[in-house]
Amino acid sequence: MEQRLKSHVIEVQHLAVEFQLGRRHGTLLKQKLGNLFSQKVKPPKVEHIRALSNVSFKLSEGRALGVIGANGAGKSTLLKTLAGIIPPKSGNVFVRGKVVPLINLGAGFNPELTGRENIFLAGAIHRIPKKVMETKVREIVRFSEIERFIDTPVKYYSSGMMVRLGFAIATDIDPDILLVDEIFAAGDAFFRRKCETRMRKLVGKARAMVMVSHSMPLIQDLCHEVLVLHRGKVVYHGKPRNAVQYYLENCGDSGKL
Amino acid sequence: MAPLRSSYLKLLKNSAMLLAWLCMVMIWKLREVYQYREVIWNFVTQDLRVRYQRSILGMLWTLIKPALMLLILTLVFGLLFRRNFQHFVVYLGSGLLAWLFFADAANSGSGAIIHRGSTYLTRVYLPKAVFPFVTTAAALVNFFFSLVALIILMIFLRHNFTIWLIVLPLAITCLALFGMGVSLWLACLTVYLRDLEHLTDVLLRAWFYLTPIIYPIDMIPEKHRYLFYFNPMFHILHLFQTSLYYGRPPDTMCLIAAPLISAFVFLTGAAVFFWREREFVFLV
Repeated sequence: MEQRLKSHVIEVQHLAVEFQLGRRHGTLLKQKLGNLFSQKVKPPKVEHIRALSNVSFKLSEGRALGVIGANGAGKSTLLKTLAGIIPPKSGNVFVRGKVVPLINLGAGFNPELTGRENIFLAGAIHRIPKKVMETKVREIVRFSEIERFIDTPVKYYSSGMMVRLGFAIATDIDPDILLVDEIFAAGDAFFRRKCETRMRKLVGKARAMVMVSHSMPLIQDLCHEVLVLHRGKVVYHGKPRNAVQYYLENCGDSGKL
Repeated sequence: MAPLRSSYLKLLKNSAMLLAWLCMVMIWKLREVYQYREVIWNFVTQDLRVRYQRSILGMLWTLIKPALMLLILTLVFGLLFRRNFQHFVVYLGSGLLAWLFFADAANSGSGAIIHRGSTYLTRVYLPKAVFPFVTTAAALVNFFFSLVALIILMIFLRHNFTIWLIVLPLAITCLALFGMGVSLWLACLTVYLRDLEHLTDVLLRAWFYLTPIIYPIDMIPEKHRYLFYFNPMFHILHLFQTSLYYGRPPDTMCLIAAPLISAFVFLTGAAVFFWREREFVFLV
């Protein structure tokens, strides 16, 4: 029993996530008061949308899982749920170990702070002691190749510099579980190659990885198994080559689904 | 009679269990916030630095602002109440600085989740309570600086301190707890009712004049004085004013009421916050 529990690093059971459409912000006093005086002002109707429904899978230690699907299939929502950012509507998510999301790289940055200060902020957010972070700063700066700008506030950075720094930080804090969401979009070809090399190394080192990408070669290259999502449901889970083929044949406009 | 008593006992047992469960959840949640203390500290220092980054006097503004306010109020109201006080500025300062902390904590607390929180909430995992803790802690740091400045001023004015200065740590603890509790309440409620952010500021101004800060409580006729007992800030500020300015023991009522009210507001604020925090990510 213990053995079985240990071997699964990520376990997702019948996961469902719901979003509200329409009214995204809390009610304004105006609307509430309006309702007191007249019946006409009705709050806009709240519509719910299922971003994920009945998603179940297990991921064993040392494996890399790719997630593919069309836009709006729920790939990023799945990653955010695994990271604990979005609470599930129903179902269970078990994640064992330190999760480091590489979602929206550089999103956790505070634009007013310098690159160096943001490195320490990111370290604190991932609960790395400051002393440990101090030993990592040099390597992070070296890898991101932005030595000259490291003491400049991040708000003056280009998007490429932001991605470089974000990637360098996220991959240098020894995550147990790496969640990767389409991070190679920015950054030039040379840096992308460097990232891919490092990712390959990390897949070996991290206990598990879940990766979202639209780049089929990258998915096939890095992942051991692939999940195909379509409108919030798992439609295929299996070997990368078969999954990609299934996705390309069935999920497009002319597909059967 | 017997069945009635047993049903009472059951109710008592159930509510005790509920309370125990609530305490467990609360301790667990607060522990998690404590584990993220480095993030809190990081945000607090950022707040203090970034706020005055471009100004020439920089961090000094945290001292200059309350000092100027103290000066203005002393000039205006000192003339009115000069007869009642040896050093009006000290009396005013002992209440005003604590009030400024509270107002700062409440104001920034009401925006804690919807402003800074919203940028982080949807991107990284952090305990949500980190954000109101940050705003309150930043206000508290400012308060400490201004308090030290006031004490230096008092030494300079040859104000005689008494043994009752020992009440000051208790007063500060109550004030911090109360500010934190109000912050948690407002941070949570503002997510649902955005207007609160603007309303808070106005209500605080009214509350300021309803609390004996610029005027002494002795000015109020004895028969109306009980009205002030409903004001939590009256009890807390009384501790500050007696220990710092009057140098006499505080009223027993205030000594008991201040910690009780502060703890109550903090615990209920935390409970409500932790109860609703799961939803925040969808609403900000």
